[in-house]
Amino acid sequence: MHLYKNLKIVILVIVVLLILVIIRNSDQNIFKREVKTAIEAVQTNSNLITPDQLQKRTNPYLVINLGSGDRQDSIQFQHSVQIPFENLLDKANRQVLNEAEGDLILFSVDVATASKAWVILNQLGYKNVMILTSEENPDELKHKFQPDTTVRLEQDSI
Amino acid sequence: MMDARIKYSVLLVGIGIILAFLPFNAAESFRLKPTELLSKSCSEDIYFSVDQVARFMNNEDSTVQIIDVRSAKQFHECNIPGSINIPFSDLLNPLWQPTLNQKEVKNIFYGNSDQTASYAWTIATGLGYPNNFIMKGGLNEWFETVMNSQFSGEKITPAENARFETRLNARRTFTQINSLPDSLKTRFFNAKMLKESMLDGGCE
Amino acid sequence: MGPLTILSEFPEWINLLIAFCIGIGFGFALEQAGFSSSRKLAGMFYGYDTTVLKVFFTAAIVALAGSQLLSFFGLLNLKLVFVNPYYMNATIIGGIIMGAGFIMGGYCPGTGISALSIGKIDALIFLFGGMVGAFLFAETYPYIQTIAMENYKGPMRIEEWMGISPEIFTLILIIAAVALFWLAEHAEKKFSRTEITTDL
Repeated sequence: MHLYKNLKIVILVIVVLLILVIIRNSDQNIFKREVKTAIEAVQTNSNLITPDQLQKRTNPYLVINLGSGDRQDSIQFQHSVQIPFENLLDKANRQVLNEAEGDLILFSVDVATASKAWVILNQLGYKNVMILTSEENPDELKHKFQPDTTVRLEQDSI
Repeated sequence: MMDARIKYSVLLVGIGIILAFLPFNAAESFRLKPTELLSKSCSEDIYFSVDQVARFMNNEDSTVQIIDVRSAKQFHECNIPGSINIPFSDLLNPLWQPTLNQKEVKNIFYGNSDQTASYAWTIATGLGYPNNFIMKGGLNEWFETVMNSQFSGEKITPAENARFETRLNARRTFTQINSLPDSLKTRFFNAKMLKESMLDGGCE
Repeated sequence: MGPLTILSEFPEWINLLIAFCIGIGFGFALEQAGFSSSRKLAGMFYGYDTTVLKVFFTAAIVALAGSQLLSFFGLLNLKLVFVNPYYMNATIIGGIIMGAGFIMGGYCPGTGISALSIGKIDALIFLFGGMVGAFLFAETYPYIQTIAMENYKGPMRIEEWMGISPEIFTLILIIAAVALFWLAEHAEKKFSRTEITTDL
């Protein structure tokens, strides 16, 4: 029909668009999650876990050691693997992460490395990523500030 | 005539349906690719030491802005004088976008330790904001090195001398500003905030 | 070039050149749609010519759908796209004044300039009137400032206010637009007047 001939072009365009959308969606190398999910997950410190809590967990987990040296601390856990931070997104390692069952527990000597890795993995869509820390709340101020009560500033310096 | 109308209607409705079912919202996620973000995270150049930040503070260096990512309550108890308080939970507030997303000054994030500062750094870098840095060790390191360290030994090199002088100056400024009674402190910070918001006139 | 991520590193003069070309394209689109004729524009109000509705609504939808698709493919940074701050009272009052001027004069500022470019005298007078209005606004601003600034809602977007995702809003808008186009066709048949727009 006359109508169908015209619609053919339209349908072609829509199908091409659909294919492009599907291709883009299957690209592994883009971030897909909304950033505010990362901020909400951090609020209650629910992404931190101590070694004792980890021992008591019944769900399956995989500990990921982000250091590149020879760290002995993490071998007390079964199911641990060593992935140096710079190689975290290599193809082989991505496969390890995708096939792991249960939670991903990140461990690093340097809390900064573990925190950055946590944000990256969380935004890539991995659910249940946690950071292994030795303290309940590592982000506490360990020093008390002693104000100097004799201080007087001249008025015009404000 | 009818055909053209039907053609365009079908095209537009088709595109609309595809849009309605898009699998993810690219406007709300990171702009950088994961591999790019990872390589930036591994670089050593994203850190400033507490000594360097102390020097920035003493000189009132205008090429950096020091950002405290802790809560307002913790900021109020004590903070690095001259720093801005952007609590981590408020990081995505569009009102902070002009402050963070600009090429003029460097953003130096700090918290009590490296943890929240690293979260904030990764998010800011992932969103495409330029020039983000972390003060290594956070306030805990600041207290240990700048506030409480003592000079020991007989001889001292000029470099060490300069470093200790920086620390002593920073110590004095930190103690003085943070010891101000609350009323003067609020006036000091409000004067700073007013300067920031007045610069934000823009095209309105 | 602004929010387009692939073109962001151009020097300033290329940005201005692109803006110039886009402006020429806009004027061209207005002129070839017939908007230099004030009868077409006033026809929107009286119902006998709904070209304005179709052209501008289509443009809005193409821009909306296009920008969201580009954002999905990573080519456009929607966070950098400017959203007008919304002052509710000022918008309502200004809209009424502008609507009255539109019907009386038969032009709006953009189409007034495109009509002027083909030599219409009434467009010249219309634009002059617009400039007088702008001058009066600037001169009386201290007195009307409070009214103008009242009820500030920030750079608001409809889908935020409605609480739905931007893409669903686009779909709703597209369906509403298609429905309105069909309605416009019926209105044109109902309110039609003798065909005078060819008689320029």
